[in-house]
Amino acid sequence: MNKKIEIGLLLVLLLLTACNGVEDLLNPKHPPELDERGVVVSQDQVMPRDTIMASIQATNPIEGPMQFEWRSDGGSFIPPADNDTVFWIAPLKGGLYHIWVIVSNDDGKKESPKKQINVISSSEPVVNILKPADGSYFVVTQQIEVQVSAEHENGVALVRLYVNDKLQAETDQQQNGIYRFNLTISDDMVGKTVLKAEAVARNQLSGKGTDQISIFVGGIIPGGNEQ
Amino acid sequence: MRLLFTSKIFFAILLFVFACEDLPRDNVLDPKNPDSYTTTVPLIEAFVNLAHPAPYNQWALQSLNNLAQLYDGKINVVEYHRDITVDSVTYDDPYNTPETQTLFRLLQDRYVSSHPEIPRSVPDVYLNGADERFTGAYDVQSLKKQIEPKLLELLSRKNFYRLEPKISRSGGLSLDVSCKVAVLGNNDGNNLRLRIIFVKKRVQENLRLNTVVKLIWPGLLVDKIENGDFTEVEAGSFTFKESEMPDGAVFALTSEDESIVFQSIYAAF
Repeated sequence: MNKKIEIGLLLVLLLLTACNGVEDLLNPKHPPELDERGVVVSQDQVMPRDTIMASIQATNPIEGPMQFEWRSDGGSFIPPADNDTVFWIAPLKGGLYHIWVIVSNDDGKKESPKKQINVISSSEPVVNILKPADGSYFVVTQQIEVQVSAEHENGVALVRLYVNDKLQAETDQQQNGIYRFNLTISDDMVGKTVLKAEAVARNQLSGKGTDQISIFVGGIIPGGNEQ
Repeated sequence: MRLLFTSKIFFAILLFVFACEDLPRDNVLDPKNPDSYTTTVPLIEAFVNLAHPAPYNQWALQSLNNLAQLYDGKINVVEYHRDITVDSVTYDDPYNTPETQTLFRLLQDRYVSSHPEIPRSVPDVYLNGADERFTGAYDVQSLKKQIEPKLLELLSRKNFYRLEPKISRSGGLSLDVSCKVAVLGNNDGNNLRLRIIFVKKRVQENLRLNTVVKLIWPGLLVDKIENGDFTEVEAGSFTFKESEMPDGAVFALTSEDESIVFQSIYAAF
């Protein structure tokens, strides 16, 4: 008897589930459709505290209103911020920020891809010569590696290496924020030699960050009576 | 009366014997004193060339002149003058001979092999063998600044080797050379060599030179020295040309492979 009740309950449950599936099939959900361009902004590179306009083109496949819920990982929206077009105020601190929107109707919601906004930082890139150590000693003909770390909120466009104020090399190739230069110690470096690294931010507006160290170079005459 | 005299003598002998046995072994230079030690006399060896027009070698020698003056009697400085060839031009240093030149190169090669990051070059300076290498110079003080801290460290260290050279003239231009080597501080002496470096003092412009005119290299093997004992190394007889007659010799006790210098002493003739 008990077994019969259990089987009965199971059948009812199965029927209910099947009904939901059937309803879905009969009445499919129609959340808002978003334009493939996603969020469109008036500018994607701005100064701190600048205001930009952001909009999304969405169509509602069903009758009824759509709701717009705007999000960002910095800065703020000027109220009202519940329409397809909003105004976003960039934060004070430069860097890369993102704006996106969630559009919903009675059937569901859809989230747009994140739109990247570069807020220009007026600060200088932070630069550090990691290797060699300040005050290191080398001799002519030695080959050394100069390692420079450079960071900026907007990214670093390139790093230059100067030896005694003379441009030696520049690179935009980095690995984990470390820029590497191979330097051959030459006769004109004998004595106290200044190595200066200069980083340029990827925004053309802020100053250049620099770091410098001194190394000491000894003069040698290589070889000697080869036999 | 006679018995009294005999017993007095006997008593005196007994007293003498006991007195000898009770002599305290508190002399720090006595090899039989287990606490004996001496001070380190570091050896600075410089490979240089004074014929090349670049000033680096002169700068290095000026630094070494300053150190020698500052630590007079506490350190030994010698120079191996090398000929060098740069871009097919040979810069012939006047203070070497074909024989010494070869030995100097072999010795430098031995040292360079311990510090291969910089190839053979001049000026190239070593402190107590290949223990510390100082290559190049950028002014008259640069080498002094680099060497002095290491030198002070060595000078403050206890040393357990004592050298006693003996040099006698066996003729006008011949020298008989030997050296006693003692091991202090309850230690044995194993796998040692004795390098003998004959030096001639010269003056060139503002430089005081300690040029090596003869080098006994490889050094003479030193017999094993038992705890509290010493040995004497007979180097033999050496004859010099009058113009190359050395002013003295530096005796350096080294490891068997000659890479490390443990102790040195200068003996003037």
